[in-house]
Amino acid sequence: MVTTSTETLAAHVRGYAQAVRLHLDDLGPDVVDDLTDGLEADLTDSLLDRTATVPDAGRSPSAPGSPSGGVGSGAPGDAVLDLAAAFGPAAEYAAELRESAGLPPRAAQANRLARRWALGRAVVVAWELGSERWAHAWRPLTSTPAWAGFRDFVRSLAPVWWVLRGWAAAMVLMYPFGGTPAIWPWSTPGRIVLLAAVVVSIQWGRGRWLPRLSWAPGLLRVASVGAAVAVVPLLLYVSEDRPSDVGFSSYEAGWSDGYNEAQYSSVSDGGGYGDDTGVWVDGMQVSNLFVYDRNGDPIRDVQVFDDRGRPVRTMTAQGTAQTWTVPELPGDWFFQPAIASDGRERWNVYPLRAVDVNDVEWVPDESDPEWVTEVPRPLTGIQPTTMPWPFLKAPTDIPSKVVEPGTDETGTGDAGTQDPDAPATDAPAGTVPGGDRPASDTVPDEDPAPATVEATEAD
Amino acid sequence: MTQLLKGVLDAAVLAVVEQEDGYGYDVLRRLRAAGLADIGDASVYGTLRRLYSAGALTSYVVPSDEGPHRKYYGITAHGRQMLATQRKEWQEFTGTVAGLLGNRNEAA
Repeated sequence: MVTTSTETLAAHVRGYAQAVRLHLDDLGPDVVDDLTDGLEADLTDSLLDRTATVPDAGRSPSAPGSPSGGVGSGAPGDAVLDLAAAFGPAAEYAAELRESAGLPPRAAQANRLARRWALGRAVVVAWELGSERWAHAWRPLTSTPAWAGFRDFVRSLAPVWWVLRGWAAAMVLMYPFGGTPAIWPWSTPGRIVLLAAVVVSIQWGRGRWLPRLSWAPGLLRVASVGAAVAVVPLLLYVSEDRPSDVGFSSYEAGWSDGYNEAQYSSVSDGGGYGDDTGVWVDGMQVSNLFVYDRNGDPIRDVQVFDDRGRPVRTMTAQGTAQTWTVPELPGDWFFQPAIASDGRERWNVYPLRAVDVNDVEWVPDESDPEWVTEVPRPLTGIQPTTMPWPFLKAPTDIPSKVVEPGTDETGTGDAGTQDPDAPATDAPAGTVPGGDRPASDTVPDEDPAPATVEATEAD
Repeated sequence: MTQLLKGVLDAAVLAVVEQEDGYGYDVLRRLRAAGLADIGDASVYGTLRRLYSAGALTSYVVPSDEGPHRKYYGITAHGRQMLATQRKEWQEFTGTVAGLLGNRNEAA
């Protein structure tokens, strides 16, 4: 019946023709092509003839197609097309085709293989038996039009798989040379390898460029299976956020990374680019610093230097160009430097303020002599926001007077437990008026203007 | 029938294509229309391919407006020669067998 959707018919015909080709695949692609070229057209015509004649089969006994010809014989309207019922199993069809074409039957080939490899034969036989049974068990499902549609859909995704396969192969190939899996490798040789692998994979997928050797299809199959196995862990690996990735929200992942690393060492061992720059605490990268005075009150616009007089920068060149998430504050943020009175940017003035990701424009970096890099700066009228303090008041007061060793200060129970030989600079914790909890005092009103500090000699 | 058919399938296919070029199913349909109802699809297609390999047939592809393209076969000079030989052999053979079997069944 021609009312059966032409596309469904075509899908079934393609499926059957493909099955026939599979049963001929030991003959080599050229012979198979030659033998089955036009097979779809022949099958389609034959089916259309059958659907036209089956309803009036009684009227024309000499009509082609056996009475069991399975097209539309049950429910003429929306019959499920079972080509195997019309033409016989694909295996038999293929066998008849090759026999009449004067080609050796498949069994002979299998036997030749078997004589060479007993184990190989066992595997081949088991595989063929298994796949036949598997296919048979699923026939009620696989012979439905819906399945044909699904299979067509999956087939149309093949190019995606080719690209993925090439990528996975490139990652595996680069691994011995120290390549780190990445969607787009950093190094130029890595990129060349990736592009080459993807192009080759696509060409192989299209049936081109395959060496005309007997083992080439086997190699392709092994490579495909290997890539399929490798692609899952590789994708999991690259989809893990890393602190070195630009545009990455580093707080959460940074926390867990830092936590994991802190189990083993207090210093990051720098797994990738940028990991050993900036400020790290217990293996976790620090985005901002908050300073409290000896009374436990927050201090703004504190310049921080290390013991060599170097400004302490949490924001590396890369850190300034990426967004950060901040505890207890929604959104993604770009940190902004303080501007010194001479107009220069100071990144070691804390706490750093930040601008919401939607409120920035990218301007040329003034510190870059060639003006090629761009940095995010607040749009006109937008003021950088102060980031939330971890505590409104630091939990501990530090008395300015150094506690003398052995002297028990009134009201402090801690001093007596201190090592009497401790150097004076290691002042013990003094009075703890608020206990360990942050005090609930309000932080003094914030200055909405960007921080302005005196330029210092040290830079 | 099947065994008998195998022996003359080449000649039958050549004869059909000699009348007019045809693609796989077209040849099959004409064979069936001529009375070879039990002939297998794949047998005909395989035979066409073998005759083509042997140089008895030529082939060309005709694209179809809708659906897959069709592979047409035409007969070559070598094919005509082959057909002529097989015709002659067949006539001699049927003559011999008819003499052997007699003509008890008049209807045949």
